[in-house]
Amino acid sequence: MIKTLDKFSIGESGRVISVSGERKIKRRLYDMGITNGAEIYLRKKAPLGDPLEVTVRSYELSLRGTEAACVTLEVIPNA
Amino acid sequence: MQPIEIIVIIACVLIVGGVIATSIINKKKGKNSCGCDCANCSSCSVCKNKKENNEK
Amino acid sequence: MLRFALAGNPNSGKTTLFNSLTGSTAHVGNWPGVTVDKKEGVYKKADKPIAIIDLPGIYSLSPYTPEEVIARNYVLDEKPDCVINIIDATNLERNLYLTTQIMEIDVPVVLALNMMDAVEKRGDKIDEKELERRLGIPVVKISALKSEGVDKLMERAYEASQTARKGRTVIEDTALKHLISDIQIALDGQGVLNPLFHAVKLAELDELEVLMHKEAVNMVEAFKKTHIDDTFGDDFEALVADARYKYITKYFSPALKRKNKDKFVVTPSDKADKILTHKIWGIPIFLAILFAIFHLTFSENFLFLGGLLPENWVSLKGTAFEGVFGVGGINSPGVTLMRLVELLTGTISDLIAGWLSTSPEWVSGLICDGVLGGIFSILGFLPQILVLFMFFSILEDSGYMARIAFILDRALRKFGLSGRAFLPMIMGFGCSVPAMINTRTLADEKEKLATVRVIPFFSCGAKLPILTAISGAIVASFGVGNVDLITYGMYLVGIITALIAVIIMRKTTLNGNPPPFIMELPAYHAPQFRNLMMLLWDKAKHFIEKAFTIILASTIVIWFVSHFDFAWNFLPDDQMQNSILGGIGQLIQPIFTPLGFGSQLTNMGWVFAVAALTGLIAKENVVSTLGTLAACLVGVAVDVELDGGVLAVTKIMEITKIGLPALLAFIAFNMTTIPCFAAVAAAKSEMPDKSKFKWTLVFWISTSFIVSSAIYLIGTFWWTAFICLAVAFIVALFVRAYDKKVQAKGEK
Repeated sequence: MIKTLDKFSIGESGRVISVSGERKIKRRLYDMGITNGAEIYLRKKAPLGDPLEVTVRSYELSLRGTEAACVTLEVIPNA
Repeated sequence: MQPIEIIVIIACVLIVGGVIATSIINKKKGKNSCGCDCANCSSCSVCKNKKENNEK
Repeated sequence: MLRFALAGNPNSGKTTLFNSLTGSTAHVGNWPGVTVDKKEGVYKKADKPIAIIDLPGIYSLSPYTPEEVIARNYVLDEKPDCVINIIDATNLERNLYLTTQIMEIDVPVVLALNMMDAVEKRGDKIDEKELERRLGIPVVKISALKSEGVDKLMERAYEASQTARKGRTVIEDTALKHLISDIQIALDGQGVLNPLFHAVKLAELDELEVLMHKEAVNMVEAFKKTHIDDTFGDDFEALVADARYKYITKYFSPALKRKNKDKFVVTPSDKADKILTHKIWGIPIFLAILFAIFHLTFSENFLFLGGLLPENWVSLKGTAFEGVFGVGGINSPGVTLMRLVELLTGTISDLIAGWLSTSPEWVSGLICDGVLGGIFSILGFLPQILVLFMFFSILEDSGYMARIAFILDRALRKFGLSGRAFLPMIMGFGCSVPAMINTRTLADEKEKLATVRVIPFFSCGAKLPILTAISGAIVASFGVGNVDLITYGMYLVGIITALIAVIIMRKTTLNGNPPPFIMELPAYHAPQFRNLMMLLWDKAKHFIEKAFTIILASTIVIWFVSHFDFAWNFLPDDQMQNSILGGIGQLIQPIFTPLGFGSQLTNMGWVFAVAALTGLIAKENVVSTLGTLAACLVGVAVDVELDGGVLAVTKIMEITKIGLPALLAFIAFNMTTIPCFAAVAAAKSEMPDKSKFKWTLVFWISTSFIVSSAIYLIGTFWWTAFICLAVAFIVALFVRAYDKKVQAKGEK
């Protein structure tokens, strides 16, 4: 299944297929390790559902729903 | 005048004058006295910036 | 002298390493033209001293933020003899992303693997020799916190600096490789230094490179037309980023041997995080923690045990320590310390008054009333300032603050700010100056301006005496309320004012969308006791320094100016209203009538206006001025029982017949008006635009008048509340209309 990061539920993980959006945001996402093939795990959502906290490349990153919507992933089914 | 009066007056002039003079010198150099410690506070650094701004 | 640059991600322990390398030689300056920190120091443990320069924490060398531009330009233009790249070993891959970029520059590089203790605790291992082999640069394990491996690091860095090094790239994509090598050859032919680095950045069509090497851009554009990548199309930036991480994952990550193959391990930090940033309980816990901090610092009825204890059990009545541990209720640690200091200063004052009893009247007046009355009235607050500062440092150091910013981001967005604005605002509770400087982390100019403007509303440490002295006096004289509740309440007034001001600003003159909020959340870690103590000691030192210089000079001047009239006659205490200060005070006094401390007070009422004015030099002056003037008006400078600022305010209250709402208005006025000169200067330096700065001054004055008069009017004539609400409603309508207009214009 393919969906954007903002549509993920807590505990789900996926592999990045593509990153879209404004150049500045894209670049920032790359710099922080969100590139094709990276695995992302949705750890938490703040109260009110936004921002999201994800684990990527062994560290925690927070990003808003609008930024998460720029990341398209393929869901990794939980073994 | 009693000796103590003279001492006190001189002390006052020195203190007030000294503080004002130091403030002006610091301002020219760009240093700032805010009660914070630059070496430990990683985000306090008004030191050189004002100098650059003044020189522009 | 050799120069080594420290480069690395934020939160990688760079600052800790820098401090341990340079010790007290560290000196903070500023990078020309930009408002970013420049930290330099000297490492003295080698044969010859080596200059160490701490570059700002960055995630990449692409020009996304001013910090990245500075770091990049420093390495390219200033040519340090070696770059020490410090890496947080607990997230190797992302840290190495920066490393691959630094390695493209023709400069010796040494990798410092920091936080190895955290890695080993997890049971993981990093084979640094393997990493060194694959990277082609020296790799040294260190623990900056424990100062382990640091000397070895410097030795290897020194070795590396003795040999020139050519840049190397990890980009393996064949097509891109050709393009890069073509550009590199072209640049090399032109005599450009670091051709490889520039070539790679040009392939990404990096904004800075495009400006510098226009001809090469044509090469890239031509190449783009002929070569469309399957995955990324013509987005070479994505291609390059992807290539870097691919290489890192393939060749460097294997050096990390995980104990737990399970991808997402739960650490103690995670467990703590689950509770502290809980979906429902996160914010209430935060508010509870804040209240606990205030209670420990300001409360005179600790744990609200007052009513339960036998009378006089705590007050030690009749002893020398009467009142120190509580009167009625138990004093919190903060207040107890304050009382102890006041006991000390009281004893000293009496002693000195005794010595001077035979001196001329003006000498004892100046020293006892003026100097001691002024300085001792604020010295008592030092313990509380330190306690508050300590708690906030712990919150910040442990990483809790970053998590709070995360929770509050959504809420703050309603005000047009991002979660990141939260940290500078909280720092404002310590001192406005570093808080304003910290707004540099806010990339969006408008958000930054709005934040800088409201930081003074988060009452800094210097304003604490004002709050505590007046609250204490209110409780003592009117018998209403608790000191900590009033103090907490007034702090809240400041915060609410700030939020409302921000909303209005963001909807009118500083309209704009909240900036992106992609932020790393570092793991929690226990704050370092030693660092904390050093910080507190330094803060205490600065406070005392300030007290015995600026405040001392101010009290001397004020005493003189309040005891001589315009004809230079010396006046006794009870004729102060005829003095120069009295003249000035009475001149400006009417301005404050709508606020409750203007013409409606007795003939000594001008002291409030004057006190507020002296606050411009340093906010501590407000209470110390009241202290000086009170001491003169009462005759006896000091009372052993209840000393210091509270007594001064109580006396002034009696003499001027000021009412409760006016007192609260006075607090509010000082909290929201123009801050001390130091903060004004800091604000100015964060706003290169002169007109914005002028408006900021206007903003501060108008806000303080509006808020204070509202408090006074509603407090005195309760029905004015309706008028205020009506006015607020109309203003809100205007603001909404303006906002809609601007949004519509933006969408066109």
